[in-house]
Amino acid sequence: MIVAERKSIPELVDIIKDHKKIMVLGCGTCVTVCLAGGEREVSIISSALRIAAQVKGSNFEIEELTIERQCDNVFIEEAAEAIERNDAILSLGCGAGVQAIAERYIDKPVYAGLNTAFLGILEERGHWTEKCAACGTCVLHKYGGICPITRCAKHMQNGPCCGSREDRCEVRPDQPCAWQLIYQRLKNIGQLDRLKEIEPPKNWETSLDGGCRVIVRDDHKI
Amino acid sequence: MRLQYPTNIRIIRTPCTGKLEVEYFLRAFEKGADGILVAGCEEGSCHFIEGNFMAKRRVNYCRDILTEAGFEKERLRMVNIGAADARLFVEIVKDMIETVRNLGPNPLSQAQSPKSVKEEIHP
Repeated sequence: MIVAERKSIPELVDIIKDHKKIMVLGCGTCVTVCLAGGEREVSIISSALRIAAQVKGSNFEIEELTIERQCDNVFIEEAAEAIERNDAILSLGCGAGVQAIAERYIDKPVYAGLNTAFLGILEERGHWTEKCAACGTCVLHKYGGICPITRCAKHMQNGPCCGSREDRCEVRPDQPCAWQLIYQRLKNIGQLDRLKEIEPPKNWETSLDGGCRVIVRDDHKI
Repeated sequence: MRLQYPTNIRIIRTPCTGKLEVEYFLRAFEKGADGILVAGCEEGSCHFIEGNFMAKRRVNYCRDILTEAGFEKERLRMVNIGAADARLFVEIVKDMIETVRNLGPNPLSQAQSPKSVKEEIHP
């Protein structure tokens, strides 16, 4: 899922300071699961913004709303009336959600309330880690299901780098060496031979180089 | 024992401090509460195993948010008091009231009467 975290309250106050009627718009999908932009966070951030404004002697009129998915027009429509009656939108969706709202309501300022961080998973309660860099050419099948692009600090496809200490990364000692994990995993599944294959330089054309990426499926077009 | 404690506090009962959410504290302050004292069971004696630890983390998170918003975090405090420890309860309540009195009234300019918080919880 997409993992995000909220911007600080002073930063948010600064972002919305020119408006009086704000709608704080939450998203019920990824950012709800990572506890950054769901219904509860909408309530908390709205309260904090009102408190911050009143402490300084000013005031915001804040409307709170959470829709199922901000990145989908079908659900964005549900917020249409509420969006119309406010001066600006503070979206607690991911970067895709914020842009979907902004594209749909061309005359309405839309601001991001979160910093969208990465594609990751919940390791334990309150602890998320990045697992996928969305590089566009998945190599997980070659490395026992452990991504060297995301989890190796040097993105090495022909590792290890010889800098690891014990089983820890030399760049991030708080993290395990991805190549140690890959070795263990391949050993466990009897595929250590894969490490004898030399991986050619990665084709980064499918990554962020050259603007946003597009997938078109003719079979789904109407 | 017949211990006396100040009358300017309102007791709000919850099944467990683990029931308390961050937005409850924020809304209480918005409605005009001058201070909030969260009194949980002693650590290790929660009937629901870890309710008071969850409350502690939420109170700490809420204090961080209040600080970011420029609001005095000292107005929100969590303590652990055994159900039978009346003497400690009175002592802590008096100390909390002293802390809040030194800070003055809730600075939120348009804050409503604390009565409305109670009405909201028990309409």
